[in-house]
Amino acid sequence: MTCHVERLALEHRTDLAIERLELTSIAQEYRLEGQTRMLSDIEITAGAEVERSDTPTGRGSETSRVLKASFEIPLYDTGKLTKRRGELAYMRAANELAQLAVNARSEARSAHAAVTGKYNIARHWRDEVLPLRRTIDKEALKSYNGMLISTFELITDAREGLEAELSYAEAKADYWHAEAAMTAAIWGAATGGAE
Amino acid sequence: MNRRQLLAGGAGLAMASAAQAQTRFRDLPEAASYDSPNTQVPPRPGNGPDYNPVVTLNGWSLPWRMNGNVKEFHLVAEPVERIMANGMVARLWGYNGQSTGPTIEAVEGGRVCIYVTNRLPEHTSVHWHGLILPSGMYGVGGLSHPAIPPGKTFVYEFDLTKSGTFMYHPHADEMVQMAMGMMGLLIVHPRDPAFMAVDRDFAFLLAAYDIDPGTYIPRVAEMTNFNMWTWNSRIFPDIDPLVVNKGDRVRVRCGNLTMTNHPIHMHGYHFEVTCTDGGWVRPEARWPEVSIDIPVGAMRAYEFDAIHEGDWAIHCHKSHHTMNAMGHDLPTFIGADKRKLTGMIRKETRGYMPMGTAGMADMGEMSMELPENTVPMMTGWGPYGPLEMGGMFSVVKVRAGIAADDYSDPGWYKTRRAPKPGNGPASFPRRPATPAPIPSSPPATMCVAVDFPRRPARPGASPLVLKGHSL
Repeated sequence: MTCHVERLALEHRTDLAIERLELTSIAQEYRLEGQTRMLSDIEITAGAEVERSDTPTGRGSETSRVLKASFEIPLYDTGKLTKRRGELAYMRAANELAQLAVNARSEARSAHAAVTGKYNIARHWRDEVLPLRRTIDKEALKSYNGMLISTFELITDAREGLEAELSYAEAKADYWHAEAAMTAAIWGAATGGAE
Repeated sequence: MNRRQLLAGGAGLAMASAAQAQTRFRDLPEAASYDSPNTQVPPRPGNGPDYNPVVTLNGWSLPWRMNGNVKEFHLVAEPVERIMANGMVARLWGYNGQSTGPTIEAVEGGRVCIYVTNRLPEHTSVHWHGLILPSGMYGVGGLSHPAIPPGKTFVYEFDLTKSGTFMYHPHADEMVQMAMGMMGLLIVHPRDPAFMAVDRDFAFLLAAYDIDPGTYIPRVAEMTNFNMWTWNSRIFPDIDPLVVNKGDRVRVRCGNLTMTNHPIHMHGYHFEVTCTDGGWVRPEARWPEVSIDIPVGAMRAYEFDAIHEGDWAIHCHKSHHTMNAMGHDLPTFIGADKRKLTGMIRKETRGYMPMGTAGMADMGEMSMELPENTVPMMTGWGPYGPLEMGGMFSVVKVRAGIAADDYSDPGWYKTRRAPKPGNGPASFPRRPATPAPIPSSPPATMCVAVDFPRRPARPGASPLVLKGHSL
């Protein structure tokens, strides 16, 4: 579930946590008080709640799946701010945090798509291609037994069988890499945050 | 035009009245069918002029009925399953349940009426190869008459002016329909039973198919690389033997509907061609032979007096026609040392057997798993070991004391002085009877020093070593 991964990313990414602390510290620095409402990253990217999707019957739209845990940024009654500079600094940090959150969700979605894709490819190799290869190897040996093909063709078949095993190993490695990348997308990469 | 009209199957379209059509349809002779690939020896005719029926190898003769003085047959062209040999079924087109179709037997001077019902998915026709007929009866679709559409019955009716050896096959989409197995024998016996009389009269048709190992239906567009060389759509080791009583006068009739010639060779006898599909051969025009070349689209009948007892091979002398399906691109491995390679291949492919390094006779002895629906390329066991044959091969079994109507297999002939291993021509070391594991020593047994007297074997070494390859 994509939104599950997005939620995990919003909850766990260290770069988001850092930025949020940053925001808190700005608020404290400028002694902001009187929190009026919460701004979620969804609201910032207005319109994102309606997702477009291509269906066989044409282009349809459906309402975005609701995030179980929304990512909320506290906003203050800036009208009472005594210092214009504080207001600007705070809003800048708030928007940056919101952008980070949007990016984090995007990265989580990409990582998830990569994982499911690589998983399907690796599974196809394992469940479809390799059994077929084994059938081919078996039939090749039978054909060889009947002197219908020669040793050379048998070797070619065996080689193609080995190449299929290698391709399966590569697909499995790709899947594990994607799995690692998704962990990074949830917990934050070593560099942290958007690149 | 009465009988020549296409009869509509139950619905009288072109007929004067539907009732007449119904009556005519009910009037058709019963379409007999045969579901076995075993030779069915026909009984002597109970009525009408007497003749000695032919024995169609792994085939049968079509029952008939007399309608006045007209002999009536009912051929049904239809898809069939033919057991080519134990372990191999071919999905073919044939007649009355089998391919090749039943043999039609009649007598010179008589009139026959042959109803042909088409149960194929496309039109067909029947060409009466070799008969002298009115033009409209000759069975060339579009030329002699309209081809017979699926579901319809056509009636051929004609007088048999000559006795002899003939055959029938389609002449509509001819290449495909013959590649699918549509053919049969037509034997016209002499009016005088004493003319060209024989005690045993065998008949078969040569047919070639290309059936990929593991498949069931012939490749109908094949023109040269056939892999099934059959007699009556049957291959060795399951072509029935030609069983003969010692002293019998024997005739063997053979027609060729493949796309190449076949030198049919019979051991043990000299014999003469007495009949072709053009008629009987005058005695002064015959000469003795041991192989008779059957050209494409031709028939030959030869005769001999079965005076020599024994099991006599009869086969096409093209050696690849006495093989079943085999690869056409196999390289020659004779003399190659496969031992190291075998170890390497077995790491990947368990059960790999090195073959061909000392010829291909391995194949006749081992029985390894083959693709589905495939007969080994060389196979069959005789009393003294593997026959290593396939395709167009059978045995003429001449024995004393076989009853006139007995065609059952008398078993193997007991040679008076059976060769013992270690004596005479069998003195070569025997090849191991079980699949040979990779020999731990060079295969020296295959090369006896006697063959190369100038190069005596060094003690402890393989007799012939050329550049590291043991021969």
